[in-house]
Amino acid sequence: MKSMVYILVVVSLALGLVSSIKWLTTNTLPSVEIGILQTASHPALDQVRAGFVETMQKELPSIVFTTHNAEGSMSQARTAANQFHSKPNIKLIFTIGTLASQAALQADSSKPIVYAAVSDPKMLPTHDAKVLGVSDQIDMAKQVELIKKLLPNIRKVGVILNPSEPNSLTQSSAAKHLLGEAKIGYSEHAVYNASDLSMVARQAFQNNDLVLCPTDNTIAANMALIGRMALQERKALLMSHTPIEPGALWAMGVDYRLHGTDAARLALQQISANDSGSSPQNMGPGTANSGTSKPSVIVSKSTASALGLDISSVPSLDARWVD
Amino acid sequence: MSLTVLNEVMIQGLIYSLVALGMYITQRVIRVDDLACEGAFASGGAVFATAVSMGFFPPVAIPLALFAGIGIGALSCFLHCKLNVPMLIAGLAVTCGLFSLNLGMAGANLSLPHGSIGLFGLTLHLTPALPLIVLCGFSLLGVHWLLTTEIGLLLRAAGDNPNLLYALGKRHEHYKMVGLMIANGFSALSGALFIWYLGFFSITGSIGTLLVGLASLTLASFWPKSILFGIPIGCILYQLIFALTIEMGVSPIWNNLLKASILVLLIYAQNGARREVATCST
Repeated sequence: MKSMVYILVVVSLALGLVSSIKWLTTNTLPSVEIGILQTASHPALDQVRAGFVETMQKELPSIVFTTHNAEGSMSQARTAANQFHSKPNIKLIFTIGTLASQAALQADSSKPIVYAAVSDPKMLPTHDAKVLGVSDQIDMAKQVELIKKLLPNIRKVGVILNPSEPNSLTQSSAAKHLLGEAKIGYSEHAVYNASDLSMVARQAFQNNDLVLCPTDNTIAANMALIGRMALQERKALLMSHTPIEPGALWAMGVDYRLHGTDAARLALQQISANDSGSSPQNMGPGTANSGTSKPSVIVSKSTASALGLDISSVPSLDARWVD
Repeated sequence: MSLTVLNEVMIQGLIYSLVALGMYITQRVIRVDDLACEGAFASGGAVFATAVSMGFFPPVAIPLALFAGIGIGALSCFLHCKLNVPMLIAGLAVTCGLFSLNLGMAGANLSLPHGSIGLFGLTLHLTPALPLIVLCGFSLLGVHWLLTTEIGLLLRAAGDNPNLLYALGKRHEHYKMVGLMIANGFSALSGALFIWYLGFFSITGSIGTLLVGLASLTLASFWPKSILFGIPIGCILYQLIFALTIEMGVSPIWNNLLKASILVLLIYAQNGARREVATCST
């Protein structure tokens, strides 16, 4: 009998905790509510969310967001996605990252979904619902083109990546292919978690002329360390997301805040199409719209001079220079 | 909370109850702390996802995952019994090594082909729950029956009283191995069903399975008649707590703290219940 009392105490404590938090955060019924499902806590993904929320609030001041973060768990992503699908006042689901987008697309849906920060939209399941999104795939061909143009003496390129991230694998295989065509050596340096990073990065810098980082969550979170190491080793470091980190020579990739803004535009389009009764446009997976956040090149003057490079004289370089 | 979410909770709870059933065998029957079940869960999913994307019919891929799990159980027992690696470390080493194998096999993220999505080929809301209830019911009854047979008796003895096995001239390693093989087989089966249900495999998705299984098993041990039959209830209750936190909009930052606190509270409560039984019997 006493065990039942214990279990009741535990369950009611948990319920009391969540309901008190709920009570503190209760709002009146909103006109438009959007469910945001994020794959994990991460600076770039947080930036996407911030850009999205900011733009949406500017356009629709009465808008309300319900945010859930799966923190990498498939089970949590699935439960949260279903929760969003089953709530009638949620008009649209915004997913950030591959795992969250897959979970939302796999759950039965009649609601429009807008995704962002998915590197390879072909990875998403095919779906009949109204799916629209932006991809943060970087233009690896342009990156390799720039290497050939600006740093013609480079013979060996090392790529640091976390092989457990699908986006990194897509990009590194593209890099391998393109560098092979350009007759430049290619090697992969795998980092599974942040604790491996400093050793692997050191090895990558010592064995290569140049280190390239794809849009990898683990790497991006530790970019400061890699940038410092690049300066110590006096080797070129290229990044695939902006803003540029001290120590990197140039960054070519997606500005995640603008990426979120682009996604917000698609979401507004879906909502207005829904309101006017016309069926929202279905682009389907694989036909992501990259919008205005298309890759831009940012070159660091101080790193270029630290490496003794003179690339400011290169003609037809469409880049923004920073100190 | 809507019916959709409750159904979701029930299906996930039932799938995880197979992990908890495996942990019941390792924790309560042969009494070893098997950490390999987290690796087995992930590998079950990876084997299933790879096989299906290679063109296997999903019901054929499920036994493949099951066999992989059985192999994993045998491997961790081999490390423990033959190479004298402590059980905790053997489990950790197996889980750690399997991560690379899974990555090599299925990659970081793998969507199932469109035709094979939906548990048991059923995409309607309530229907996957029914075959799942049958499957879990058979598994529970199977384990219950097994523990009443002679092998089951010796399995229990391997945990409770290894001296009995020596007295009977049996090697208790053999029975540990049988227990670990069954337990990891259940974990892998659960992993495969989970991937089938979700429709995609993600390398990071299985992290934390151990905690879910352990907490669910502890919840199950409050079931008055038999822990074994409390397992599905415990698992569903545990999933329900998390669905509630999502429903209530609790920030997911606190999720892991909540999980840890629930586990500690449950074990404390369970010890309280044991103390009570002890005082009653004296």
